[in-house]
Amino acid sequence: MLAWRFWCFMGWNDVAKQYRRTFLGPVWITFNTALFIVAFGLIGAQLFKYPADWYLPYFCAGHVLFGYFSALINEGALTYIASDAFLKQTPYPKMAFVFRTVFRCTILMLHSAVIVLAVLLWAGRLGDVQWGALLGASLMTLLAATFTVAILGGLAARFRDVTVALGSLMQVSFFVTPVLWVPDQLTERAQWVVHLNPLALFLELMRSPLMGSVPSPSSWGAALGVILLLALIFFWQYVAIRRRIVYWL
Amino acid sequence: MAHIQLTGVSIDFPVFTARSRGLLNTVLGLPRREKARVESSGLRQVSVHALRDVNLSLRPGDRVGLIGSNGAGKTTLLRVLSGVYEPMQGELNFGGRVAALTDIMLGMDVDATGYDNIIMRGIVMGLTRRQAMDLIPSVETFTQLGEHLQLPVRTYSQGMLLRLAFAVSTSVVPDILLMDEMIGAGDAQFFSQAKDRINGLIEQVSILVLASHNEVILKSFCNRALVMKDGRIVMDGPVDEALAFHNLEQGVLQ
Repeated sequence: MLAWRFWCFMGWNDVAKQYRRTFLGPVWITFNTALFIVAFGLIGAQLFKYPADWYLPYFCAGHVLFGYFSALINEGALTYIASDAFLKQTPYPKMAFVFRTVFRCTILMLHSAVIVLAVLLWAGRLGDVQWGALLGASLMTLLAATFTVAILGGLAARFRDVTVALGSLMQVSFFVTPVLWVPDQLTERAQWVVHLNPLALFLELMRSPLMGSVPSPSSWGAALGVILLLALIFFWQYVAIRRRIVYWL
Repeated sequence: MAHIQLTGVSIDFPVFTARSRGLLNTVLGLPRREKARVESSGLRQVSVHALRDVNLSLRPGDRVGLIGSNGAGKTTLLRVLSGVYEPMQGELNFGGRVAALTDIMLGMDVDATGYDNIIMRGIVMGLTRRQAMDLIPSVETFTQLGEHLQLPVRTYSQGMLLRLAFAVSTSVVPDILLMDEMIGAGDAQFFSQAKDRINGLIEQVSILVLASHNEVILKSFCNRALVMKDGRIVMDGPVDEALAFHNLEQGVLQ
């Protein structure tokens, strides 16, 4: 699939690079994340008055997944910009670079996913995980991620302020997406924050199977709708700019 | 069969100002005053004409030298030939495996070992992992780096690094080889080895396109030359004549 050897290798190498620089590599980041999750998880449970064995896995899964989304969006914008040396020397298929970014972010996320499993085990919730729904949700997220990375990569190559804008947008999104808090805590009138937020949608889609429930049909439907919309934008943009990207670098 | 055919190819680069480079400014529209100024000076769509109406046909056996002063369009033409810049105007047809040896270190990582870098560079050039592994013995012999290959490349001297990159990059024989200046490396002894190796590579490829300012190199490797000026091919013929033509032009300018 579109020079898979190249993008698998490059994506994998991006991760390997981090291992080469420090012995622990991304594992070091995992430790950091784990520390933060446990520290805030225990305090958050008290703050929001939830049992720790429910809130800790909830926050942990949310934090890891949001970190994944955030990496996809921020690094997705750099997909073509950061690969200019490659793109200017050899006509690799453009999508190879998109897959490379998605692949790298996913591998790095899986490092932190270990913490989620550990926390679920600690909370005695590992048995409740809906693996089938989780798999479905993951596939849909990957699909949406691929389209998003391709769209943002192209947009950011043409308009250089996109990278910066996305950085600040993602910082704000952290607070309007139910990572720390639970949607039920919002009043009826504020629910739109969650309903109109695609990040919240995919976060819930992946988190609820981890927390032991299958997402509602409306969530699946909404996610499918978002994917179709992204696919439409992607194809339109890809046809329009595929050949121009190199000229912008 | 290896061939390249360019028909009426023009390449324009959009020139973005700080204003048109930003999404916010573009979506919201330029401030009215700004817009008026840009329009009145007739610079609404600013672009650089890098190549203009280039027609070119390369056949097997062609050893083409690209001659031209800086900014004449040599590098752009090489990138069009490699398929990197897909022409918006005109047509490009090519057959055969193209390889550009413009950046021989592309894909290498200074923190990885010499052996890892052989494989990385190989895969970046389009090999499978197995094919890249098969390069190792020949690269070992050629570079004479011995145990250094087990160390991270960042510990290498500039010459050693170049030797490694050169050895791997010249291991793959494409049908069409594009080069921006001849690659030469290291000390005198290595230079003569390198020369043999690059000669061997050039003999095996079907078409060579080499951009260079060096007359000796052009004369020894090429059997045809293109003189470029302001994005156009102004002369296409034997190397000696092309060089004479180019030198005359330069002389007139001075």
